Amino acid sequence: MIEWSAIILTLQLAAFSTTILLLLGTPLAWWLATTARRSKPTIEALTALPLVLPPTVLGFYLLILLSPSSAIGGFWLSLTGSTLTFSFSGLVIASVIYSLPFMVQPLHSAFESLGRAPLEAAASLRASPIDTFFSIVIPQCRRGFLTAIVLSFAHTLGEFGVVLMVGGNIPGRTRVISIAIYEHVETLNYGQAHALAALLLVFSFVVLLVVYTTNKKSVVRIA
Amino acid sequence: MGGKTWAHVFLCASMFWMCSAAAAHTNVAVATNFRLTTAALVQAYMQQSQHQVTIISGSTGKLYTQILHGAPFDLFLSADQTRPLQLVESGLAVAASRKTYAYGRLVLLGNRTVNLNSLTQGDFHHLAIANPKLAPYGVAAMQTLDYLGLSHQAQSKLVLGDNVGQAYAMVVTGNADLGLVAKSVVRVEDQANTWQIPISYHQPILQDLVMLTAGADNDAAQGFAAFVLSRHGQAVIEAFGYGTTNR
Repeated sequence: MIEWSAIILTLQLAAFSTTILLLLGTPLAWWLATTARRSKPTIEALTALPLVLPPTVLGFYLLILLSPSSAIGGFWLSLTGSTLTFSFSGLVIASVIYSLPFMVQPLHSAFESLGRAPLEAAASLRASPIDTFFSIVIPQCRRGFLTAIVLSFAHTLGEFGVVLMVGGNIPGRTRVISIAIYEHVETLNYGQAHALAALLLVFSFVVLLVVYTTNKKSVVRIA
Repeated sequence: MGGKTWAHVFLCASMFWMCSAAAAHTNVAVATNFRLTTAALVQAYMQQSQHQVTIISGSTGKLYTQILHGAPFDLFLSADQTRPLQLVESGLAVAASRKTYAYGRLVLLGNRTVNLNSLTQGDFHHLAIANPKLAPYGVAAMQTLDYLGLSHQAQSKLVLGDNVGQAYAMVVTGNADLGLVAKSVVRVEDQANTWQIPISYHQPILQDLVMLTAGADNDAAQGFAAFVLSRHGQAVIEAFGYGTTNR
């Protein structure tokens, strides 16, 4: 019997996180690609931190930051009447932080490789910066966007350590696939562990295959 | 180099060899609820023995799975009787060595002072317990909720820790407002915020130890197991809030 609630929850978490990351990560990556400020390396380093930090460090800080006794967690509790830890919203916040570099870095390098020339050409034709962004930057950087979206989505699917620490293993709310697999292995339910693990393996492979195939095609097309 | 110097070297070398032969080392797998107690037991044990004891802690279920997969442990201090028995049946543990070393106590823990009403009135967001599939204290917590007729109401508020230590941390960090945890994991500063669950609310938590076949000849493991069951060891265990056969 496959645990559909865990699968659906995981897909929802990845979809929510990726959407938020797209909205936050695009301006951030654009700023990083175009700024000449001295604070750039600091922001770059902060953005890349989740790549390096163990999930336990993130999980530990989130456990404290999201707790109802902290300012953020307390504000959320008074606003919504529920706590951030052990909730889907808390997991979304955790995933956004955890997958941030996977959204920002591909976009950053795509924006950088675009160069100033198309932007200056558009500006000389009196296109507004917003217009330029939507009609020049996004179409030109679609491979960067695809890579960023797919990597963020896939990375969130595989999130484990942080969720283990702030999730609380609640079916339908915080019991994602990776946690379900972990528990099945610990309790010797290898049948169920196999079913979920194989599903995740196949899905991840197919997703990456799609990315590499489309990337290759577009390279051919541009050449 | 004179003959006398050589004699010294030989003497030192042989003493070193004898010492290292006498002072054995053992890996002891310990259910999380008993971790702090084991650390105190090891400290007391080291004062009367040269053996070295390394503690590996986790939920009973997790350690059991690790032992099935050949983890290099010599002695298993479980939080139940079932897993040690199963290990004996599968030939991984020594039947004659299986003994009850402690009777566990469950407490209700909160962010402030608590009593039974804190649980029964339902005025809380989250109740942290250890995962009942892995941890005997989680099983006792579920039995307590059943006994009080709360299992249905509390179901949506349950958050599961990987072991009783994580359930405890969830409450202490303020993320869960209530928890049902082992009395022994509660630090002195949090003891005022606990209410002891009457033992009639759940099946007795009988904690058994067992020598694992792989470590059956390990002097350090045998010595430590004997110490845990000794009058001195049992007194240490009582000081951490467990019941023992002494009382």
